[in-house]
Amino acid sequence: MGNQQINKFKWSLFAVSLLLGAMLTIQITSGKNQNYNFRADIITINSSFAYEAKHRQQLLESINDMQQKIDSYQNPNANQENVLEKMKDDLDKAKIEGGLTPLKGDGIRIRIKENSSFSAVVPDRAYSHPEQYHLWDWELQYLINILHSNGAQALAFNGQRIVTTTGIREVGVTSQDGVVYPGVMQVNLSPVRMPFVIEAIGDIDRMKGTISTYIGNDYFILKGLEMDVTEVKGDTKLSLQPYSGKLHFQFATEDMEGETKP
Amino acid sequence: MVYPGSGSRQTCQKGVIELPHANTRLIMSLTVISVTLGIMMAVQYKNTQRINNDSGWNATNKDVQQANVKLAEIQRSNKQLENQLNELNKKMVGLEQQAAKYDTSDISKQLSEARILAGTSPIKGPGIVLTIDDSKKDSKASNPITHDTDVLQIVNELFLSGAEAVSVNGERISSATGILCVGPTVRVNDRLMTPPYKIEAIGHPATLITGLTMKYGIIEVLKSQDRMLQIQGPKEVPLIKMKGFSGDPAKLSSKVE
Repeated sequence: MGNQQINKFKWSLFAVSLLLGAMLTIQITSGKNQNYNFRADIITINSSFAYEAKHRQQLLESINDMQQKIDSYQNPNANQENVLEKMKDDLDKAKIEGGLTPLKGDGIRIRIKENSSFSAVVPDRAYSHPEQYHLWDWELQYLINILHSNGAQALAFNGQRIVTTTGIREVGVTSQDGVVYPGVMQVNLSPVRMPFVIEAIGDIDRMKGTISTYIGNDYFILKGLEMDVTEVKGDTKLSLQPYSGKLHFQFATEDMEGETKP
Repeated sequence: MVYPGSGSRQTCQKGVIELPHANTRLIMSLTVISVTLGIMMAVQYKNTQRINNDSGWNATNKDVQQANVKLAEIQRSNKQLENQLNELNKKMVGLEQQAAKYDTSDISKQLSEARILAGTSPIKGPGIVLTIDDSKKDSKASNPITHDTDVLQIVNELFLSGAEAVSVNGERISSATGILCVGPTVRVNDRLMTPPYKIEAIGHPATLITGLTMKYGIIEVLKSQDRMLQIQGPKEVPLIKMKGFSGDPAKLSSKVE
């Protein structure tokens, strides 16, 4: 009888444990299958929807503006002079948007320079040096890019205006066994040297916030460098020089109505 | 937990049977286990509910499906508006060309070049296309995801190789464009995109292909053992058509106050 009691207890315990295990498994796996994916999905979808709703409004406004302009071009009372006059206004606007005119505005100035506190331990960057101290071209590209993504409307790098076709590259750099043999950093095919100064016109708070989040001073300290960010606003506005490169588009042409298809 | 078996066994051996006592212990043990289990489950359920409610993440499959339908609808509608804007843009360029036919000031050419540089007007020309996607699911790459920096480096390499215009999944790279990772997606001109990323570039096709595929170049890095990203192309395309920048106009430098 005693053994029977023990067996009954064991079986009961076994059944309860089995039930508990099954319940916990269902709870954990259903949590993964449903909540996790649904959460991620719903956030991404809602975020995309918010963008599309705003974008829709902007598109409607742009279409309205464009239609008005076309109507004015097609107006029988409009003469060629009027159209050319409007084209001159458009040219001024396109030059500003392309970075072909000087621009003044509130913004920030970022300076990346050698950190004097580490001068005793950091080797001279002009000669071969360990990889950990090297500032790569893609890191500078990334810095410019996050500013563009977060509030910058116009940028210059050591006086070189950043335009759509700007590339940043260190020409001639090589690396072997953890040692970097430096090249020459180029922006718009012009050489630039330390200290690197990036000037950005736009939303000051957003730009400052994004730098500290993504690639702030802490990032540069590890390379024996320092980054300081100063606000330039009010009477002393930032002043950016225009893009000085040659404009020559050999392959791209504006697409226009009424052309025969090739 | 109390294990009652050993005590009962001893009493059996002595010939003293204490059945009611053993039963009580069994019932009590099971009750304690069941109550503990019940409390644990209730607490777990309550906590999950609270977290979901606090963060607004209490989504069901139905919610996701409904949101997806709404998103697809507005995206389709916006696509139509973008096409409409593109057609109007082309019409305007045509009218400008007509008006400037007998003008000697070269304004039409200047305007066209400035807009191509800014990336704000629809353009066409020969070039290349390549598609980049995450590594295959069963790959052993240590870094199998396509990042913003990958797309950014390809775009940078294309411009350095002489590209005159570039687009990513139809979004034109302009003077106001940023490329940034947001969770599993890449944001270009504020539009969230998921892989694969189709990158088109207008320029001299052979030079662009050489720029991308040179030794130790970006494509070689992205195909390496660490990454194993799936890359199709770059291949030459005789005619690529690109829309102008259709993102937030407030980002353009002409809106600087």
